Amino acid sequence: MRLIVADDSAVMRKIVIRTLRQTGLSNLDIIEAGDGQELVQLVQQHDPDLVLSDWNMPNLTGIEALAQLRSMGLTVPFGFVTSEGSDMMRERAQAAGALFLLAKPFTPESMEDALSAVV
Amino acid sequence: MSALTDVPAAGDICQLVDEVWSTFLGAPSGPYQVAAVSELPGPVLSCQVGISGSWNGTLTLSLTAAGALEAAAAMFGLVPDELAPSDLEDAVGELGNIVAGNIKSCLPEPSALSLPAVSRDPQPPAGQPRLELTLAWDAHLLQITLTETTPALKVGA
Repeated sequence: MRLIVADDSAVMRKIVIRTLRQTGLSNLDIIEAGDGQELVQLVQQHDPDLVLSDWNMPNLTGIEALAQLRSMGLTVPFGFVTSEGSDMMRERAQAAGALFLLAKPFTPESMEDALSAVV
Repeated sequence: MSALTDVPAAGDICQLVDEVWSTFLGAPSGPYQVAAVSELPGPVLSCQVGISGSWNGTLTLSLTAAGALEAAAAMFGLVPDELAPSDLEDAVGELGNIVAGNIKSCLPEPSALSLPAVSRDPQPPAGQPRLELTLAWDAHLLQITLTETTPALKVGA
């Protein structure tokens, strides 16, 4: 399974990847993006099975990146992993086409729940 | 003239910090509130995150340098000697971002977060302090402050 993990924080990308492995998922091919613009480029290049993206990032935010992907006709499954988990943010994420919004801090169990609709 | 908005209670923020520390730092017992100190001892790393929109202000998370080193090592899964200064800034920035994002969820919406700004020589943000907490975990202290600013009144509105 090919995933793109997008977050402007290197340590948070590392925590997301470590937590993904703790959920028991195997054969993961993980690509990292440091901002929304890089995320859009990497999705075009690598055709991933899933994107896990932060919301608040430089250049393009996560939701701007998602909108750009959808406007290009790219329907890659997309989930947010973000510190902002209010009802309004969840509604915005869903309206933009995201499958879920996983709020930080998260555990392997909450990550597994979020991914259950995708994997 | 706009009235100040209620902000989350100190207990709720302590609970949030405890959850973040136990989840991402593996701290067996998360930070707990202690008597306020005016200044953290020794060198400090501070992260400031702006909140703007229906509520305006700044969240500041400050850690002692030793605390930042221990936090970063736990988050990266490395020993402290393996960390670069930029790793400490990244870790403190992300901790500030998580605390700010969760606090923002309790404030009037809509509003947006700035990207975290980490500094070793932080300047106090302008505005009215609404919450000041000093917490301890292991042998380290950290401080959280929430400062509210009132947007300028629109002339002629």
